[in-house]
Amino acid sequence: MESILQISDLTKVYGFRGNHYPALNGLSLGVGKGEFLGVMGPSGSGKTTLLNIIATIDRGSRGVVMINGQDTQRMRRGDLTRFRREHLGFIFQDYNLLDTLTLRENICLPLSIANQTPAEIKARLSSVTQTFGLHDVLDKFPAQVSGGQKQRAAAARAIISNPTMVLADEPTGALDSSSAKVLLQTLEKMNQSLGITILMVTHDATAASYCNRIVFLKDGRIISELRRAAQQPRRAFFDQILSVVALMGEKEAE
Amino acid sequence: MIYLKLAYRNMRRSLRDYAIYFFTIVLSVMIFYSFNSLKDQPVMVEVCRQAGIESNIIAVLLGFASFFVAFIVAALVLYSNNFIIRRRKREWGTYLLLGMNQGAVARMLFLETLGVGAIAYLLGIVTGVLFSGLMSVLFATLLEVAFPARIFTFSLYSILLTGVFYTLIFIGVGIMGSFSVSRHSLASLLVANRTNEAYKARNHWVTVMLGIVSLAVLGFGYWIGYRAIANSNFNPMNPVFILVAALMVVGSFGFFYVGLGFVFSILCRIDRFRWKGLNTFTMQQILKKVNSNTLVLTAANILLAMIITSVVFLVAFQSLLKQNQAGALPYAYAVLYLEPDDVVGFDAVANANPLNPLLKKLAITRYLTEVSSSDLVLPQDTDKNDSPILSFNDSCSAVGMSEYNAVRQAKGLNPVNLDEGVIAIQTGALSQPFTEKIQKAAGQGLSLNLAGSSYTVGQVVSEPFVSVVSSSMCMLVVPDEAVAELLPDGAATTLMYEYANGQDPILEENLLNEINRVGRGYWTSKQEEAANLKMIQVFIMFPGLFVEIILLLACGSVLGLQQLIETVDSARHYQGLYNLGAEDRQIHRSIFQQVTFYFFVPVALAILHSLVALSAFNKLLGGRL
Repeated sequence: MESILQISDLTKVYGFRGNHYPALNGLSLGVGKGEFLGVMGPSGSGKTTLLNIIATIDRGSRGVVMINGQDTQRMRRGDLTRFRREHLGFIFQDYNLLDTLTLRENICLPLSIANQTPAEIKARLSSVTQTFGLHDVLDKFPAQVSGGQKQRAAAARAIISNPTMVLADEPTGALDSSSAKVLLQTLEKMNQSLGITILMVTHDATAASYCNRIVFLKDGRIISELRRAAQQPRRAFFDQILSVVALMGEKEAE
Repeated sequence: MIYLKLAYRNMRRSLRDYAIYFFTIVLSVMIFYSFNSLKDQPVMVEVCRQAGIESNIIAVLLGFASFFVAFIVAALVLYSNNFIIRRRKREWGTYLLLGMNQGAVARMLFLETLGVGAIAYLLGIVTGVLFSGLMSVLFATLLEVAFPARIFTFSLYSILLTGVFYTLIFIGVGIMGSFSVSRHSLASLLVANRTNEAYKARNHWVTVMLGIVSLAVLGFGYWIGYRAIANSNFNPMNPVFILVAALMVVGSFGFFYVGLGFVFSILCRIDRFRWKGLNTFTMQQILKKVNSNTLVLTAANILLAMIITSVVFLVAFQSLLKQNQAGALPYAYAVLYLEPDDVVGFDAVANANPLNPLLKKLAITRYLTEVSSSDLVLPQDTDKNDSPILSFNDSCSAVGMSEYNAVRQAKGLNPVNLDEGVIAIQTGALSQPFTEKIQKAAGQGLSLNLAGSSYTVGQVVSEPFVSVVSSSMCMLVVPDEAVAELLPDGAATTLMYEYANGQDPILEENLLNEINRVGRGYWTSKQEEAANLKMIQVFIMFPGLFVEIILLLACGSVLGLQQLIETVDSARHYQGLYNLGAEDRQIHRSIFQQVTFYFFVPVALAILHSLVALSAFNKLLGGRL
């Protein structure tokens, strides 16, 4: 399988003047094209730090992060911006939609930032609106639609520029269970029928069960990994995830 | 007591936000105090004393402007108070969650506001005293006024006025704040710093209607204001100006509130524009700012209009004074308002001092004619709406050609030569358009009747003549033989004397004695005339500059505070855009566009206001601006 993301020996240390605290501790991880990877772990395990570094919003202290064959740790700020625009899509827990723009304008923002022509923008927009079923709410403002619709708009915005990889940070964190389910099914569909690589950080086992591989983080490194077998029912995968989580909890208790 | 303690701790803890709030209030107190202390400034008092004018008149003259300054200062305080409330809702939510009741939180908030207000008031007064003192010195130096030894003054009037005004504002602000705590649910307070200001999507047609209404209000305000100014009985104290001020404020407010939204909603229909870079974001950002800061924008806009108007006014005033200087006396002394028979006596007095011999003398007498100003222009040009202060029923006086030319020569000007049956017209401190109308009439062979004979107008002289001789309107220059047929225009003879040694107190006393003896007349000197002119200049320019700087400062702080708060508030948005892959360049351009636009819009509307005001004043002054 073609590798999209290759992280080796990534370390991130916060703090200064002898008051160090490592958020990532020599972490290595590979993600192949078309994977739907879940990253799980308790609070403080380094999930968000890892995601920020992959998102090129933050930099590691040591180590290499290769995305699509390019080392993002060595890039300059201006190149990173272009890289992020061309290769990455984001879905955040708090949607990160601009409240002054309509959903249509929010979704198209990455394309207009990249100075695409109005015709191209329209074409891309109609294809993603179909995927996410947002047709009726395109001209509403974020404040006028439900949380689930907001998050689907954020997901549409994430994939409108055809990114190499979509990064999702607790995308269901603020949603009720039925909205969460719709969103996760959409992500699954994006992954399966459009072949989009997704990396999702979550602490919710249900959300994680939609993934096809899960890595478990603790104290800044990967301590366990689960792969969903071909044709394995989601329910079974969910039970498997719960047992790993329980196991991690037990170790903690000892 | 616990509330006092908590309030004190709160202030210390949210120091950065409070610093913005606090310094805004200090600045606003300083502005308000300085503005109202003008009449008590030692330099101003001195200028008024020299001009023989009661210095209280300054406060009355500035009455109109002080209305606006109060409005702006109140807007500044309210705006920064809104900011602090928004930033701190969550903190209050925490108190409520911990079991403090709403009344207690509201009371605490009220105490905080009053405490901060009191300290800011004291500091503002002190900085105001320093600031206004320094401004006085600066402008006194610029205008070359000798300023008194005491520079800094505590204007009791202004301190009290500021105190009363701010007490009212702070009570209002405190009540508003307490109200906003008790009105909100605990949950909404707790998440307050994460939710955005509610964005109101407006109905398109409502926007259009409101836009038209606000334009109509503005237009109505322009119309009333124009008529009240460009009117022969113009009165700065006319209460109609309060109505005009209110209409301007309301109209401008409406314009900012809906006008831009309307323009942007049209721009949003152009795909090429809409989907280019951050255009949509920038537009919506501006719109949001304009909508949520309409009050601030209105204040800045009104201020700018006042500043532009008064700067143009001061510049025009300066050029008027220059014109007056051209009409200065050619000789050291002049005696005015004499009968022709008095000349012999005054000449004897003028020649009496052998130590300061009389070098040159001139006499010029004005004569009465039956020609009125309206006879000088074509009938179709005697437009009643033309110039409200020019009355066309004034009769014109006449001077003899040789006396007139003698004065011209003394001033170093070429004499005017008239053929038989021809006269000239010397325009006084007249308006340019009126002079042009006379020239037009003269070009079409205007002829006038003087004592039964008909004369044609050969020449129109518009260079300034000696201003103490020429009337404000115009003067006919007629051949000497024609003068013999006319009667002197009352006590209308002017004598001018030039001496070897210039100023001479003995001569001045002698002239005064002679004036008292004949029972009419008035003496003046070149120096005194210059000093009078200078004093008028200082009397207008000093308060003009002083007020200008204060208004500019107020305007700068309004827009500056606005941008500062905006930056603090919207950092999150820019981070979001950066994450989406917007380049630094794009983001910077967007911010630049927002700031530029934000500045440009009030300036553009202010220029419009000023144009209307200035054209009205221009009309009032007969086109001399």
